[in-house]
Amino acid sequence: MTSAKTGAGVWKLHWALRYGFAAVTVAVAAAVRHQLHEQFAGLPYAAFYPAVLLVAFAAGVGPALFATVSAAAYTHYPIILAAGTFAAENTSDIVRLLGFVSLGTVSALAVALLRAGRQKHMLTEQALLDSKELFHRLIDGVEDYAIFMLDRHGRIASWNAGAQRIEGWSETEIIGQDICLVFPPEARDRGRPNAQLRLAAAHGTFREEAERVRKDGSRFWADVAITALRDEKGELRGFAQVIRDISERKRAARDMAESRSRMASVVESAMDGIITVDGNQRIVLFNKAAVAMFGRPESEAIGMSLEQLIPHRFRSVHARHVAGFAATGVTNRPMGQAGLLCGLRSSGEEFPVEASISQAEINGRRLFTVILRDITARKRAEEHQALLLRELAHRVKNTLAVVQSIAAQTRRFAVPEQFYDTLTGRLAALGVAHDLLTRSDWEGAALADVVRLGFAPYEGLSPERRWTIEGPAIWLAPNEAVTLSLVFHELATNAAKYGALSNMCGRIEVRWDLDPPDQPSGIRIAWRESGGPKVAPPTGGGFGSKLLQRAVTHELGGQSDMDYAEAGVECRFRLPLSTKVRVQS
Amino acid sequence: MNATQAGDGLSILVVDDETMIVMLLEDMLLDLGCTVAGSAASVAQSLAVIDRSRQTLDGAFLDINLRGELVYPVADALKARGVPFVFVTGNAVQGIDPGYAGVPALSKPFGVHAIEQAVKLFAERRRVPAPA
Repeated sequence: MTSAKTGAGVWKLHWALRYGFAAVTVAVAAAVRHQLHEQFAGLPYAAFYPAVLLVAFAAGVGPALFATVSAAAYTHYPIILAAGTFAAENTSDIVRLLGFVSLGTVSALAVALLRAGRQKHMLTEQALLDSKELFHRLIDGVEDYAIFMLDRHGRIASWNAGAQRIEGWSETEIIGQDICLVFPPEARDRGRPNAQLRLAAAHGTFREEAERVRKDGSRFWADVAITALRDEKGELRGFAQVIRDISERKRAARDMAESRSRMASVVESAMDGIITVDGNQRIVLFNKAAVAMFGRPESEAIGMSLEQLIPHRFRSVHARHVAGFAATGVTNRPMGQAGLLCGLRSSGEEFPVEASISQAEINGRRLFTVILRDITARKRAEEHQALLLRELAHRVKNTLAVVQSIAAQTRRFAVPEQFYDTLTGRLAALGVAHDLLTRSDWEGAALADVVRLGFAPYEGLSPERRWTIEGPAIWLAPNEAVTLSLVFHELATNAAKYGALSNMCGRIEVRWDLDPPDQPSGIRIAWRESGGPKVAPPTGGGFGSKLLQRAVTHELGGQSDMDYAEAGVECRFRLPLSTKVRVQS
Repeated sequence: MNATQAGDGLSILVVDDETMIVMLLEDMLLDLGCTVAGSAASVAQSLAVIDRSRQTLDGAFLDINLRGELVYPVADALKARGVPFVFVTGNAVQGIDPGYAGVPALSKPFGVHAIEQAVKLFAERRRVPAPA
């Protein structure tokens, strides 16, 4: 290599040096000739042939010709000097001179040509050597790829830096080892290493993405390419393998798939309807909640126009709004600020929805996602609540009017000293009636409970209960329950003041029966007192009897009858059955 | 009570599904010198009283909601006969059908003064009979 470089160097030397070299060489030759005068007798050019050849070889054509001419001139110098002109002494001298000059010229040219050819060959060889080395360095230096050779039997024959980095073994550790070493045990057991080499040999190349193991036993995902190497005769010489560690890519792909399936499950299990449409309003996503909401299977909805989920009269407005939203470039906003939004079920039923819309551009495709909630139930609840509030306001005011009336009636009938007690007793009866109704959410109350409430203040007055309450189950609407509560409060209060509950042994029997029993159109209620003090009919009606009479005839559409028999008060009244007073099943 | 003059024997219909309120109204009206032509707890009862009274009614107090039944048919019957009436309601004013926007409405609970005003209104209408 070094010699080649020097040769090339001399060839390219400055012309002056090359001609100088020619001159010196000729001078040396001349000196040699001079010294060996005797031996060269008759051969005047003998010493110059090698000199010309040397110059031709070492310095090129020009210097070689120069050397030839110089040598010729030197040899004939004495002649020229003597004759003052170039005149040959004899023909043989001229022949010898011409012979030397032509021979020198030809040999100079020949040597030069030879030299040039050799030089060129040396240069090519050098370039080849350079590029091979670079190539090896390249392969050695590659760190991202394991690049190595196998011999025909699958033994590792070379090992680059990438292979060491990826696989962990150093070059000295692995050269000569079987390729099986980098396979996971299960792949080894299945004979994968040899199978792959056979496939590569058969088809030229083999590729796979599979697991490989490192020196430390850990595994990684590898992208493997095996190429069979054959010589000019097609004989298999070995294999080249390129392995890339794609664990990261695999992990990213797995993460992506995982996050995609997670997203999909979120979308599918969402309580809200999620619908995605493309720029042409075609549905591209329709989740389970949307299926339930609109009553359309996903397969039917996909590809459908969003318009078909909107009642006719809203379609043009909706299209305008979506176009407007797209123009804003805002990523999301609630819908329906302009008013109530409506969806259209496949059955043709409309329903109120609450919705928000978002937009995103994915791979140059604009997608709109609408998230919507069926608020039918909420609207209904809101309406129900509003109704309850109105009801409550009505009931409160009505109750205040009832209290007002109780106070007025109490003032009218009660003796002044008893006014306060009587009034509070009646208000308490009104209060417990409301409690009873609250327990049933103001649906109503059972007649037996209403009667029992009238006796509640006298519970525990004597060791044994002195009243009986009996009758089939009757359900009373709220107003009827309140009115009858007041009636039974008055009857019990009167009994406690003047009747069966005013001594220690009187009894009261309250019972009711369907009337007529087989095909009842009403109920007969009887209040019978016995064992009390002797009864004297009241002078002028009291509030109790007035209320009973008015309530039963006016409000309940029935008849009433008070009998102030001496043995005990007996009160009978009949209420017609209706939706407000009905037999409980 | 000088309120006695206000009623001046006017014949009044009281419609309310609540006995206690009917009793209260009746007592107030009697105190004001009116007579109670009848009381009713439903539309049917009310129409029966109107029929029975044969043009002698001078006014009416109508509760709007009679156990879920609205009193408007009674209002229409009274209007047709030129009998003035006022609504008595626990609901706020927006609870009244807009078709009866011109009709005075008393809110429960009501003071005797409000009833007296209504009675005075009825008395005026009697002196200047409404066109049939």
